[in-house]
Amino acid sequence: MTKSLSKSWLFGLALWLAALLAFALYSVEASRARLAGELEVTGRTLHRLISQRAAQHDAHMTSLIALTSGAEAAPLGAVRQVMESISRFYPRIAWIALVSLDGGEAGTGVATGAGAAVGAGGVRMLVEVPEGGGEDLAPLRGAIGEQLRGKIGVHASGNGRYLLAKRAPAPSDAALVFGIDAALLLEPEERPAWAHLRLTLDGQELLDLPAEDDLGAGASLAPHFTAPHFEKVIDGEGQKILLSLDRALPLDALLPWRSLLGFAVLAGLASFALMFALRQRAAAQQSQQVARQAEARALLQERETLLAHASRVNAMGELASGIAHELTQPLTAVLSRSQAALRLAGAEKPDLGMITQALDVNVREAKRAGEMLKRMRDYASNKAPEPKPSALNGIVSEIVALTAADLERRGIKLELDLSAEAPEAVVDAIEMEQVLHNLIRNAADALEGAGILDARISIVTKVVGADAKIEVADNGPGIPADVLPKLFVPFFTTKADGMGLGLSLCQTLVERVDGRIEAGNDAGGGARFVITLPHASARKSESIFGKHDA
Amino acid sequence: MRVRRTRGAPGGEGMSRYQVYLIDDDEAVREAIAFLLGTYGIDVESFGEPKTFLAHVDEAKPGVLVVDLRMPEVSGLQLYQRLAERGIDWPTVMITGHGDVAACRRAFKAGIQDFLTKPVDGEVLVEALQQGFSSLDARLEKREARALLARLTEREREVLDMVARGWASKEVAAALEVSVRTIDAHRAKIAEKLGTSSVAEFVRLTLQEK
Repeated sequence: MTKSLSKSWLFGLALWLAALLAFALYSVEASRARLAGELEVTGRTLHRLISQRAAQHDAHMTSLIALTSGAEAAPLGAVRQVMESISRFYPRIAWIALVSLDGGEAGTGVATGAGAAVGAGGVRMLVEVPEGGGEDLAPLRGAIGEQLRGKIGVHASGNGRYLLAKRAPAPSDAALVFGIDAALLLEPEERPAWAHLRLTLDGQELLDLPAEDDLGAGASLAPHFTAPHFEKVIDGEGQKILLSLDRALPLDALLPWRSLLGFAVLAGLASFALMFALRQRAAAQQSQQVARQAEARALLQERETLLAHASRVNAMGELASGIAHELTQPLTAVLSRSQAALRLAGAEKPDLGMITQALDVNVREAKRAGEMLKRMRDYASNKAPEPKPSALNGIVSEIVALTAADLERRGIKLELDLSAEAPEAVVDAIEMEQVLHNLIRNAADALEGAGILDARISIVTKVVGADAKIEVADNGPGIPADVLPKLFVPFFTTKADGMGLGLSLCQTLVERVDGRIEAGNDAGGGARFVITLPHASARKSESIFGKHDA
Repeated sequence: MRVRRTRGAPGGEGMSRYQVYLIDDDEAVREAIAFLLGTYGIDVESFGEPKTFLAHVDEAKPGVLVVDLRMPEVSGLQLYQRLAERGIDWPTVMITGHGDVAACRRAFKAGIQDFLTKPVDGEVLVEALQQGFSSLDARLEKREARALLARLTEREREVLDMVARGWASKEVAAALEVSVRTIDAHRAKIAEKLGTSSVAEFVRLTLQEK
């Protein structure tokens, strides 16, 4: 009971933990998917924004080039004004320069190392906004000069900038250069605080913004989960700028502690409820089983009682002639005395004293016959067994009264040695009489079968310690060694007309009242059966005084 | 107190010159039967077991035995046989609780006079006892006759038998080839020994002897 209880609690705990783990795993996966989705959406938004802005750069460059070149080229002062207004409106366009690549190779498109060296000093600043806000374009002279006219070239720069360059249409040798501040490609409110944002140009870093609220960066679950990553080349700007977004997977973000805790409590309650229900069911099943067992036991006992009764009724038949004899005696006495009394009454001077005396004795005799009949009726009765403290001497006397005549007829002497200590046991008197009757009958059959002269059966009652004993012994041939172990086995019999139920029934009836029955042979030959029962008065005094002698 | 003597009741017929010996292991039965027989004026001596009776029995006091067939140790039939071994063949009425044909047959073969089943009807029992008494009377007479006749010499017995057949002295003398005087002397001797000279008495004695 305790074992199964602790087992069921262990099971409950395991169930709870499993539910918790499942929930945690599910939460983590769901969170990860959510975070990755968020990253993807944000990444696309940022990509679109940057791409739009790149397109704007393109548009500004195109319009500025158009402004500065051609037949009706605007004066440089006007160009500057436009440049300034662009610069003002678009802080990310940190530097705008119009340069002349004169002295450089133009039109042929052939660039040589010598050409570049020649043109090293060949970049002439025409207009720049802000003044001196740019850099020396000399190193880029060759690269820009090699660009196709009308196409934007993207060039690396320092300080988080990159350069966009576009040559004016031929025959102009001018080129427009934008210095773009990568950090300003996005407004501060546009960039996600939780992502690591990078912009690279040909693998060279333009912008590196680590996540601001990178909470559990240290506890990242990266080894177990692929951290969400987004990268896409910005449209425009020569398809050279790569936007990449990374998001760390901090445990906190993945595991919603609060809901996990809530779930733990709920799951715990659910497990407890489940365990409780299971235990209730187990208890119900157990009690049902106990009830079934009790029912089976009751049924078995009922059958045993039935068998015991049938066996008694059967035995009654065997005893009938002996009992008839027992009844004949008082009847004979009553008849004779009645006839005598009638004769006395018919005399001239009836002797009333003698008549009364005769009738008194008759009454006594009739009662004696009545007792015998009652004994017989009781023995054959189908009453449910009712164990109660009974004097064993009385039980022995009753069965002796029933069997004495039969034994006498068979020439078997019955010796009684009833203990003065008045052994008592909690038994059903009739069933115990039946047990004794079986033993007496077996002994008598053995004695008769062996043709023993001076055949004797002795019945002894005694108290031995806390036990009350009844012994039934005979001076017959004893029990053969090969029979002894099988003696109490149902349906084992050595008698030609025996059922083999007598001794097995005896055992059942004795064990029913917490007793035991043993068989053996006496040293001098002859069988001895010993019935041992708990001595009732010993038990009684024990319970009253609460102590027992050693 | 295994032996009990019951006197016939004063109002009884006093019909019995003999004892009734009642041997039954059941005390109630003994008392009741003795009481009943007492009302018929029959003296009853009761014994609880055959052993006691065997120790007590006196050949000089003949009586009728009423014996229970089934008793521990010694059965009624065994008792009867043991008494017979001792030359006591008094009339015996066997009473039994079992109307067992085989036991009844054995009893009659052994010479039991009557076999009654319990419970025994008083009149039937008394009738059986009366037959027993008559039988005892007859035995007594026979014994007396034999005792008387045993006094005679061989020659006297020869003469008596012829006289009892109705022969006259002359015919007897002729048959024995002696003188009539001699026969008369024999007859005088016979009359003296038997205490009678009546031919009718002689006839009765010789018949009783058988």
